Amino acid sequence: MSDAVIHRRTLIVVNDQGLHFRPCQMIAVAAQQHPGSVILSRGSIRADAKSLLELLTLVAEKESVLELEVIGDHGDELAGKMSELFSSGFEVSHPPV
Amino acid sequence: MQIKRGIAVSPGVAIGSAMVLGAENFRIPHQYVSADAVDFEKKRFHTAIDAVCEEISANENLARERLGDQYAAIFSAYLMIVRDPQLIEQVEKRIEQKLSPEYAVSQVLGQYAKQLQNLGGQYLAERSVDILDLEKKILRHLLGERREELGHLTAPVLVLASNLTPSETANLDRKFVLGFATEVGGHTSHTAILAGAMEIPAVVGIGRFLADVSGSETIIIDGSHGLVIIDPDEETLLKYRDSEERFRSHERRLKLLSKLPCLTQDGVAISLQGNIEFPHEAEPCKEKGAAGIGLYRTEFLYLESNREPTEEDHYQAYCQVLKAFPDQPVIIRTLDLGSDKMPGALRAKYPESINPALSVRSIRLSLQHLQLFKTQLRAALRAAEFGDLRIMFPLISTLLEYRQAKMVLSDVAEDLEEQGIPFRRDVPIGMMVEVPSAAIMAEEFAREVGFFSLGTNDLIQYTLAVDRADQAVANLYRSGDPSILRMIRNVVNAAKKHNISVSVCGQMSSDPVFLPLLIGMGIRQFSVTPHAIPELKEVIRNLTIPKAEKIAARAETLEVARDVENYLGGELRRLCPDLMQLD
Repeated sequence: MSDAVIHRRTLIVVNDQGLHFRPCQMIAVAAQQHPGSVILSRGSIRADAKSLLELLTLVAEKESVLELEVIGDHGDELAGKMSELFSSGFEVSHPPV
Repeated sequence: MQIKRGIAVSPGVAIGSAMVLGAENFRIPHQYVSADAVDFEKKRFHTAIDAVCEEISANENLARERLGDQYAAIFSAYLMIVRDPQLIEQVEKRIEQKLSPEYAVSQVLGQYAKQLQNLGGQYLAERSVDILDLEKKILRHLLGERREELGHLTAPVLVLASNLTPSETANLDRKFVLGFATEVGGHTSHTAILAGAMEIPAVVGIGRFLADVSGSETIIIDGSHGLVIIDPDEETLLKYRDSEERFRSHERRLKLLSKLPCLTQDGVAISLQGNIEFPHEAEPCKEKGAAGIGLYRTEFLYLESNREPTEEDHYQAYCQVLKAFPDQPVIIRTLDLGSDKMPGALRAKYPESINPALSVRSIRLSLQHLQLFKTQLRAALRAAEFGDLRIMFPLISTLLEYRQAKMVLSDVAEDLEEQGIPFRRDVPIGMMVEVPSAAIMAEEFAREVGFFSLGTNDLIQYTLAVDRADQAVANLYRSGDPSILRMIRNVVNAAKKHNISVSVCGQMSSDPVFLPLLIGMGIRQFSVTPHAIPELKEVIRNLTIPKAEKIAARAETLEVARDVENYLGGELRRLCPDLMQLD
């Protein structure tokens, strides 16, 4: 996919607890639906967004600014979905797990 | 020289060098795999992942049922980690570089855990613990139930471990394992029972001591006195070499007893039957002079392998035991799984409960898994054609439970009838009396039940509220407690009134100290650890019924366990001075 389209978005963490287990899980579930690679980065730290393990290592607290990179067709759909997830604060109504 | 004190569970002396097994520290066997094994090792990794996922899914369902969705979410996050694409990719890459999957998993997850820990914060530190826990889960599946080292012995050793599971104990190679000692465990833990049956000198419940053993020193395990001696001095070593010899000559003397009839001095026959775990124990048990099998612990069929035994497995096992005892009773106890005995196949369905002894175990498990239960009952009814097989249900706590179990048995008989498969119809059905509620209601039970067998191990644990394996309270576990004697008295009276037989099959009956008391209370049938038979026979042959009754009457007036046990010990010394000489 050398000529693959890359969709980029800047996302801001708005929920109080930051990217703890549950949001990371939601991101990974969404990313795994996409056939191409999905990268989330915070500064120089890059994480495979399909991997909960890697997402945790971003240690993205409230108000962190993250860069999303979706590679491949229909990447804009996923990018849109991610924006929604982030801006809704992951609709986390229960305590962090 | 260091002397460690524990609980003596299997007599004899073993002297040799030690093999030390850690607690949860899995030792990763080989770091590298051969080039042609890469695909096989990858498959093994995926099988382990699948198994862990199954385990976690079971936990997830349980959490959802009991605690609600938000708690179940914890497990779905774990599931995601086990199936994490990065984890799988990185482990596979390492396997391709010829690293073993065990090593690869440990390396990859270890790195993530460390990374999270270094990032700081309580939250991430806790997550790193979760990840290490998952690592352990995967390794457990990769390495299997058995720890690698035990399977590959080539020279005689004494096994020193934090703990040995019953299945590990059962699988010990008697050729190479001269004795064992563990940090945890009590008198009546199943590991201890197995050690006795296998006649391997053993001491359990020593408390932390493994750190004091380097592995190169000589060790003495004194299974008669519950001692482990690390790096003994010359004098001690000589003393033990001598006592090793004396123990053997005592054994030889007792062996002569096995041919003599089991009668009291005034000619009353006492039946000494054997407790067994495996069919191949039946023959040696007969050689010890057993008058049948009073307790065949069939759950070891499940613990031996990781798969569920088939009807044919059960049938073959029962037939083998009946072949050794064609004319004598063989009492099959239906599976008593759960608590400290749970086979791998079922562990996923029953993850650690808060209080396993009060949870789904034994007959409760059977009644929840009717297919499992029926398979065993079918085999038992079929095998009953070839001898005096009897069926006994464990851990019955209410009449309803007993009736339910009996109903399942009738269903099974009906099925066999319809299918035209030969079986015996009039198999005697009995129950273990091992829950205080059953002992209290003995009178009502005796009207419906074919025979009683007193399971003193659980009866004591449940009556005195003492976990038999818990070192911190093990000293509170007392067979001589007056409350226990009173329960036994109640059960014996009920059995006598309704003319059904009552035997004792717990560890209490294998202890010569309690034998005169139990005979004096009116019990004429015992099922004991086979190696205890000759010794118990010696006690019986020195006893008269009036003497036993006198001992029981006196013991039943005492108020505390210590007084009961001291009194009985004194009486035994007077009855059989030879028996005590070994001490």
